[in-house]
Amino acid sequence: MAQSGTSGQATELPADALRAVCDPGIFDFATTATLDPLPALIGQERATEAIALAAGMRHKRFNLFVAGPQGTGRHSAVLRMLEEEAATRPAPGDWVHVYNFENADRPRAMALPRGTALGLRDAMQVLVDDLANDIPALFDSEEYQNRRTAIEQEFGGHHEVAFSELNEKARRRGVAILRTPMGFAIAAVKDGEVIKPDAFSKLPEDERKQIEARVAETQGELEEFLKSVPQMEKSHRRAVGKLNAEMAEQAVDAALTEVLRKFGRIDAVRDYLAELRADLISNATLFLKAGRQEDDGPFPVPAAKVHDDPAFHRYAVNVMVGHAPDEEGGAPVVTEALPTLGNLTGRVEHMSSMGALVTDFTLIRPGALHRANGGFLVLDAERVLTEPFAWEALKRCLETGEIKIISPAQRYSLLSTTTLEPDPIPLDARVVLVGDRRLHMLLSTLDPEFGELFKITADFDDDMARDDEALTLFARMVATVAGREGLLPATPEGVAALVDFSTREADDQQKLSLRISAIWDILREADHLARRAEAKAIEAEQVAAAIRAARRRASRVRDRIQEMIARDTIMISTRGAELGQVNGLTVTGMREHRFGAPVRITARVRMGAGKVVDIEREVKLGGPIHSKGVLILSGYLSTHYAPEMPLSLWASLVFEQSYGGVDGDSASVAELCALLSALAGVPLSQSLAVTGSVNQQGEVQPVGGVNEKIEGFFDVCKAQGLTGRQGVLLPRRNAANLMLREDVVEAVRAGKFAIHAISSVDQAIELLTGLPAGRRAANGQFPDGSVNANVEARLEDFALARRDFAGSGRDGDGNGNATE
Amino acid sequence: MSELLRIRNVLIVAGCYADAEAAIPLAVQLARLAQAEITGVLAEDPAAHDLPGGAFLLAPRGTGAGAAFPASRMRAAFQADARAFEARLRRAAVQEALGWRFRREAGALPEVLARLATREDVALLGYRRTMRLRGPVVALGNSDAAGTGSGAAADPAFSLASALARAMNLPLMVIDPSGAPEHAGAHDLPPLPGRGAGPVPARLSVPDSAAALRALDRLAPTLVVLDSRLAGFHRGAELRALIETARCPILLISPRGDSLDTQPGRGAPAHPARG
Repeated sequence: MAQSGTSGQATELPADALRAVCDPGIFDFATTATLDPLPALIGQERATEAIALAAGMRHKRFNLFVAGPQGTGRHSAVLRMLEEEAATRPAPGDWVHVYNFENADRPRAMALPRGTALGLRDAMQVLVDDLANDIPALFDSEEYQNRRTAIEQEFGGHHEVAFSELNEKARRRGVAILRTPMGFAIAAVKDGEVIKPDAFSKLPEDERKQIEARVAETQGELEEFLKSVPQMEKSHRRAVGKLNAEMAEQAVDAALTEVLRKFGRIDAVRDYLAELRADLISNATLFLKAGRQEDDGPFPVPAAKVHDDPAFHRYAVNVMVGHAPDEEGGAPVVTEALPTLGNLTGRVEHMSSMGALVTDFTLIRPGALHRANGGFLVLDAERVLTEPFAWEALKRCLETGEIKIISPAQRYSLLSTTTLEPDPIPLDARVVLVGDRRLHMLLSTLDPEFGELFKITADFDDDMARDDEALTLFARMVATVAGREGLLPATPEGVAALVDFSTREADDQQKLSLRISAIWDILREADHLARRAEAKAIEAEQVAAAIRAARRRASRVRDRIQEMIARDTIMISTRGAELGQVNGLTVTGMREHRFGAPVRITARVRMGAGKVVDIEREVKLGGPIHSKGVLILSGYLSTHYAPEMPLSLWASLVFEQSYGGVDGDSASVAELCALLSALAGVPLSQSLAVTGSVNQQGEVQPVGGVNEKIEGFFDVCKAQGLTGRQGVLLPRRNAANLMLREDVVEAVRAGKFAIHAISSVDQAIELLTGLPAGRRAANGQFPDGSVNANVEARLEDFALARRDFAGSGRDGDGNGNATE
Repeated sequence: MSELLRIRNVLIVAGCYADAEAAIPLAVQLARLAQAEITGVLAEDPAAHDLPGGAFLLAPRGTGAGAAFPASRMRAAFQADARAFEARLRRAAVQEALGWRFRREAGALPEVLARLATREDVALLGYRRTMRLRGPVVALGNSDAAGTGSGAAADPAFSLASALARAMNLPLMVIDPSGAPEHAGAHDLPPLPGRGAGPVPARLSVPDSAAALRALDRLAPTLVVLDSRLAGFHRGAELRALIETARCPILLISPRGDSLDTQPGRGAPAHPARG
């Protein structure tokens, strides 16, 4: 195998360059139990500074978006820092909703000193229950009965005397007032009997006229009397109402004394109680009815809790934010796991009554914004955005500085029922959204209000530099987690193994991954293994076992593919050479569980009109980045060879036996090599696999997933038998990303496998063909026998053949198709 | 109230629907307590039927407006009142699962009552008051017969009046027309035996029934309760005078037909003069 090609830069990487192994000797502790815990995350100074700023600032609209990948400890860091800040802040007060006596549909919001709301609510319940007993007792009292009787006698006396006099006058005139279905009838009487019609008609005319006159006079007096009745009734009602109010006032004032004593020093409550007092007095009959209902039934009823009766809800106090009087202070830090509209801003609930939905202010429920008022609210950004109306409502509240309860049903007129418009409650809270960078980018780009309301971004890093200081801090992080979760301490070897795992997670020998959740999961699993082995501390072997176990758990698909390759169901060659065929490398899976596998890439060429067919793209299995890679290599091809001639090539490239979709350009070097092989007629070694992206200059660019790709091909070679000639070509600039498995490193060390770093496609061709690639000389020609010379010659042949073919007059586009 | 046990039927007698409507709730309450039936009777006074058309003016109740109506319309009005009375009675009785009947009778109130009432009835003479006042429940009767704590049987009218006053949360007044010297306000008479936590009645002793009527004329009672055998009130004319003077519903205990003398004029007191 070539050590370095004629282009001079391909390098076989030594085993030591394939993995950055942490030396446990740099740690100066026996176990992490002796280390001081770390109060904060490591490597996230940029993000934590932003969080501290957002937490400490008092200006509105400096809400915070915490961006970064999952597993970096965003949530816990945010909560910890906010709780530290919240502890230094004064505790917020209480909030209640009370009945609006002027407009029942607009309940009033009332701010109260902390620890007051619950007491006020209870006091009002006691007041209502007391009045339900006191008012009926007062109206049953002798004083009330006597005064009421006096009123009845006064009005009754006047009324009856008047009617009695009217009756007497009528009798003296010889007229009777009869009661009939049509009203009063006034008729003349003689000898105590009503004069019948035939007798009346026989009377002399004078007598008849006298009778009619007496009747008319009586009728006039009766009319006047009846006209006076409504006015008398009105006066009577007023007199009774005045009496009732006086009596009710006594009971109400007595009941309110205690409430005023406890809460009267609060201006808002005092004003409210003044309105309440007036309403209680004017609605005293409510308590009369409640008192009388209690008397129904055979058993004595102790003082009932009438405050639960909906008729008395108007006197209730609905606590939106309440604290016990002895509750310890500090601003709230609230998280809402299900940020629906109602859970965020509160809701007005309804009850079904007689087939309709009704509500009152006691059915107003607080949301997370209410609970977080005066402090902090932490939300998952994606959840907020996916809940209908939640994002808009949150922005409205932040923009207006008020918590306004919004009902989407009411807004869109979906419900025709009674509803409420409670007073909005002023909002003074810092909102923190936690989400990934993609969401942050989308919001920043597409929602102009986002930038106005969330002015601070805490951007969590994926990784940090792996230096001595970082390693020391890393060890302290291990100590912190172990201490917090009651895990066994780790030895320096165990910590070093975790460091290497972190570096592998970072895909960079010079970095430590800050996706700490995966690292702590390994630590936890290693702790479990250590305890099962009755060890006192976590050693490297337990860490390694945990890593292996985690990989094994996620490797069912990988193992199945390896099996299919081993059984030649998926055809991969690791020996010999083939024309226009090369082993490419792919990586599959999610971030935490990726695996690599080789794929056969083939190229076929013939004379044509200059088209390179990407079969993956043609059948829509190729993503845009893959298509871009193919177009780039096409560009290289068309400009690097026979530039003075039209490109008369038809070529097709395909990932053999790949049916699941391909994206990315990390196989473009391999594809180009296959194409060059096909053109030059020079076979490519199947012992090697290639990964790397090529640009139009033929330079090899770095790609991702190199560790998984190399390990995937290694596993295939190992299964088919290591020959000592197998290996992988990877971009030189990816050498720093190598953090290969120990067995791969050992195979390289033993000379059974090789990793070659390349920086140009020429280097790749030389390694794959064993022939010089060839550099164009001053005369413009490639050296004879070089691969490039063969490629160019072939293309020139195609061009000439095409010219001849066209000149012969036969139709066709040179691609075997009829001319369009 | 043991006297309720003897009641088999509550008789509502009224001359028009408005008067009946005022009496139905009380009648239903009584019937429910006594487990009795209710009979509604519309007494169609021929005097009202035979009013000469055009010569007499009728003032529709409550409005004070006068108009002349042909007599033929009176018959149609009675018809409508009968339907309304029956419907209201049916609704109220069915709601309380009580047996009920309804009939129309020709005649003045006292005559109809005398014709239909039995010893096992209690009769409620309906009357709609022109003004809604909370006047007292008045028991008319001999206070000796009420029992003075010596073990004598209490007058059922007093017991019933006391119970009704308590249920309606109204004061109770006793008017005794037995001839004792007239008093008003607080009295020498010994207290009536208690019936639980009932109202302590005011008492008025008057010399005769005419004086009792004069007292009633000024009282504006909510209800008058009496035993129909009470002297001075058992004749038809006396009863008519009582109705016109009390101007409120009247509850008659033992309204047995033969206890009511419907002959007018004989011994009937003059309508109470303005005292």
